[in-house]
Amino acid sequence: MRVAGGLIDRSRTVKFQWNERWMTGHPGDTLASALLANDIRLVGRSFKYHRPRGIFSAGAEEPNALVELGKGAAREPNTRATQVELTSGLYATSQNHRGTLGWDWLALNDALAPFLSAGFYYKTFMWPKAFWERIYEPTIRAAAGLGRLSGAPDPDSYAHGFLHCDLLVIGAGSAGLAAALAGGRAGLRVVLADEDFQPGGRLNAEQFEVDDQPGAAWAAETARLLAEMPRVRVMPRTSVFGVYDHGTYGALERTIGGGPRQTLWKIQAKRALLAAGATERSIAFPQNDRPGIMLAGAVRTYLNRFGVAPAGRVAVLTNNDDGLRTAADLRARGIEVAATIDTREGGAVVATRGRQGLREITLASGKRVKAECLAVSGGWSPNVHLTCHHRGRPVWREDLSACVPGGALPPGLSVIGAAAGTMTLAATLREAHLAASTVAEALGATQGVGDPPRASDESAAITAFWHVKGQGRAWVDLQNDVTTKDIAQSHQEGFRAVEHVKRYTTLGMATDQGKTSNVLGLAILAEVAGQSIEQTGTTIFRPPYTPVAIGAFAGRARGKEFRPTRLTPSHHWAAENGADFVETGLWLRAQWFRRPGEAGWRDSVDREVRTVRSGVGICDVTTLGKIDIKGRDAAEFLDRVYANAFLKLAVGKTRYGLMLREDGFVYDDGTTARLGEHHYVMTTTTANAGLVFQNLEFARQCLWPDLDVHLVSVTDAWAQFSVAGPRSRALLSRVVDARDLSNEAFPFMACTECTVFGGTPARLFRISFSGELAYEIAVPTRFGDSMIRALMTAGEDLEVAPYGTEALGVLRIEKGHAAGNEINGQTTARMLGLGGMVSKKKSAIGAKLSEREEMVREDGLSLVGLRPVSRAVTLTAGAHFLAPGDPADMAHDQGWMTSVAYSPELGHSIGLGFLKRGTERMGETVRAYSPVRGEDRLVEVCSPHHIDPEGVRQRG
Amino acid sequence: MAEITLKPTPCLGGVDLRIGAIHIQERDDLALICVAIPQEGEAAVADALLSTWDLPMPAPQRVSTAGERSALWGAPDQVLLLAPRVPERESEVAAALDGKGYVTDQTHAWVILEVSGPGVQAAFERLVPLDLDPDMFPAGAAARTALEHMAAIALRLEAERFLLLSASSSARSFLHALTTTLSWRAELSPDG
Repeated sequence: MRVAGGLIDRSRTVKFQWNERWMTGHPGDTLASALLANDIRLVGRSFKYHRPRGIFSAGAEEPNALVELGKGAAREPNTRATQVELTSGLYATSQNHRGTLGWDWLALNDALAPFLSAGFYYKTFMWPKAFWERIYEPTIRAAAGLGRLSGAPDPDSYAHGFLHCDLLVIGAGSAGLAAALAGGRAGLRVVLADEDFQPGGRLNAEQFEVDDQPGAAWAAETARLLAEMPRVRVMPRTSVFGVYDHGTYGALERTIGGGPRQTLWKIQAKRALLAAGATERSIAFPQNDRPGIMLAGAVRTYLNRFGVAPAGRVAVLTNNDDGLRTAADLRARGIEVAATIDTREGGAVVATRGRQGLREITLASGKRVKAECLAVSGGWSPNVHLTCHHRGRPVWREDLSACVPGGALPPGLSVIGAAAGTMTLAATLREAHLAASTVAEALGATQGVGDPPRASDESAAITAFWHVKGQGRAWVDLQNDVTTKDIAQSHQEGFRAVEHVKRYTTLGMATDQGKTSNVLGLAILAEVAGQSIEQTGTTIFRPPYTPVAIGAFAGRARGKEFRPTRLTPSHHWAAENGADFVETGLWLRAQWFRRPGEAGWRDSVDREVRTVRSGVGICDVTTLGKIDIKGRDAAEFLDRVYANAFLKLAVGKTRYGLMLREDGFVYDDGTTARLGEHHYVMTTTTANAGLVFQNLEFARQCLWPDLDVHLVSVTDAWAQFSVAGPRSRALLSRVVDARDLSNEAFPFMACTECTVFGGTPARLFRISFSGELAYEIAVPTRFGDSMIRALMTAGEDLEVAPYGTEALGVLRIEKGHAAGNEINGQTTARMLGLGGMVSKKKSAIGAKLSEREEMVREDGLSLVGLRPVSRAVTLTAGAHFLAPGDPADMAHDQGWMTSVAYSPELGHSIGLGFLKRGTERMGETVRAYSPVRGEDRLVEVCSPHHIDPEGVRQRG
Repeated sequence: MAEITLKPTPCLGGVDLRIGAIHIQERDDLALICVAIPQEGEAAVADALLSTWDLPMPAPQRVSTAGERSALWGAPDQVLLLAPRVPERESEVAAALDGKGYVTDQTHAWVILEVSGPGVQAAFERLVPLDLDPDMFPAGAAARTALEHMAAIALRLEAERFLLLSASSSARSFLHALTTTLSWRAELSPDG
């Protein structure tokens, strides 16, 4: 119910829906405060026992009030109602119940609780064995759990962003505001991030004074001052969720009204101050989980910040002075305080009543007290989470009954205020001011930091009290339904180390990461084990501090924007001409060009192959990596990175080159052309373009910094086309300006710079992947579209036609050229029949290790061609070779088929493969056996060069 | 085939659009020439740039400008020259250097977008990983970076005017990333 006061804007009303009921609240409310104002106490069901649960806290630590927001595809489960800013039209529903929230039939689990204790499913569902995967596990998973995903693609957008600052202040409570103010005055670039939509932290929830004004007013005024400082950025609704390497912090900003729904910020900070405050914890007593049992500090938050009393009659249970303030604040608002129970005076709550909301508590004396709300304070635990992200381990402080940051903190991060264990206001403000001043000095700031804000220290004395022993279950972890009994049982069954207890009971493993339960759990464990909390130790935290949607991590990298798309220069022309595109890495390449009357892709591919074999075809080969290599020592450099010799390559000549990894296996191949005395152009495969460039840069910068060699990637700079087929010379003679392309003047493997179509600069290479007379011609990229159109026009009477990657593949299989299928990372030069290329006269990367015994075995695999004995049969890649009559097992395996194609020229299926001692076995018949496809074919071993083995055509 | 002449097509069709207060324009009029500096050859290249065009050698992450020509620091042994695009630009540079540096025309490897208008620096927060604070990255600064997994160069011409360069093959993805970012900015802050 509403009471006077608070920081909400009562002049305006906000309408929202809760479980299909319209309700009202005010700007400044959270969903939780608005629900309490509407007297909603039951808001959800617990994870395991489906116990009725109410709002427990007023912040990120909330274990109970998890709700689903929105509907349809935008539905978001597991949202903490305590952090949801109330906006007009907000649609929220409760989650994790079958039937209505009030009548949840899975509450049956609660009656079965004695059988469902920690580890029950490890012991219970043992028989029959097959039932585990099919029945038990699915049933348990369906019964337990939280909200539901919509199952539809998220319609919202998520962004990534980058911020840079001198000082990142995490948390805008008293400590954070004071630190940011000092940093801002010093002239530092400050980012002040806070998960709340209203800066102030506990100042908004308490009746403190700072600089002689109410704490909340000081917070608002300070936030306003900070927002006016040009080098300070105040970021409300922003949770700093992780500390990463080198001063990088992850933060999630929720946007309301326009723009991306959430932005994942990578904040690069020279220094950071963690001012994350502290989280209150409960006390374990019987039936301490009923709706209406709340943290005492949260009761003050609702009262002082939101003008809401959780109930008309409130009892207070505390082990510290802070909790006592709750009673005082309630009385000041005219709320009846039914009882104030101080454990330091021997008070305790031993039982509670009220199934769907608290009605009555029983005191240690046996006295029953009517109360609809019980405000509990078991002390405050500093929010040390981020200090653990580089594996810092918190240490126990007996005087606070809490863990404070310990071990090595992430470099550049310091902790201030309650997060550091400084539990009173004046001390916090002084500490924050000093910490920011220290940062300012260290970073060389010259402006003054001003004076620290003034306040007085409240009393925060505490005497540890954890657990009221008695009848009934006492909850420790509300979100994962872990009770004191579960912890005792874990200990009894031998899971005694703190990390084991965590995993056996699931204590602290829910979406709240045990914010309210971890320390209490440690204390209970210590009690059971008869040792101190210090001896018990603590678990630590990893990112994220609060849950981050996968969508935010993905950012805009989804669907077709998952990665960039690279288009070839002839892409638009290809699209206009029936091309079907295939992804090759980031590139889209035409795989074939469909023509009217062609029934399927094979028709198109067969036609394209025939065109190249009998006429002239054009393929965009821009995607192959192109690297300009220049320098006085370029030849020497190439000689060291290629296995074969390159020192003596003449200007105007191109050579095939084979690249080995350091371990001696082949990883890439291509051609390198020498265009000038100190100028080479290397081509790589499409797939390895980036890798080769990277490796060459490494070699240049790190292996041989003494060589004068320079690399520039020109893959994107040149539109390159393969012009292949017997009529390619005729076509290019019309294209290339003033150049004799006869075999004598421009023989196989020649290269030159030239111009085309009356002056456009170009590069011409006479190289062939298809085995035909062929060229590659390159023009500057922006001329690529014009070039493909011009080539088509110029070659119209020659019946020139484009061909795609499929035909390219068929042509190279017919010719017996290795490609990615063959060069799979396990291939030696020897296997490819190129062992002789690995020069013994020089030292090149990988050459030495390619001589290892296993890699030069006489009986090793070698590349062969295969054709079906029965010509009508279609071969499939992946089949393994067996000698006829041998059993089909690994011991008799003789190799495998790497590539297959239908050869239009030969009129049957052909293959390439690696076969043991293959080169000696021409004409033999072996089985191509594929148990995956249920195929068993007889194939004949032949030369991998299915056509033109002597290479007459490409030299013609 | 004298009747056919090739015509260049801009990578993004000469895109010119406004999103909110921000203007995106394809700069298809610029040439980008890479000059690699031979070992021990920096002084000679610096002399050639200065004497031919009055262009000082740029400091790391900086641009030097003389008239219509600019030089960007590309790497410890690399300078990128930016100048109006004319067909003979590469040979002009090669002639000026006369073998003192290795010249490679990079014009066609890149797409260049000019992005300008109030709030452009703030808009770039959701795209550019660089620290674009004017103290760190003033007018005349340039740096290599990666935008949405695409390699890029960012160059600041004025407080609210940048050139962004990225690979020509992925120009459309690059433009999409940019326009998405600017649309967000326009929604978040309609006045820039």
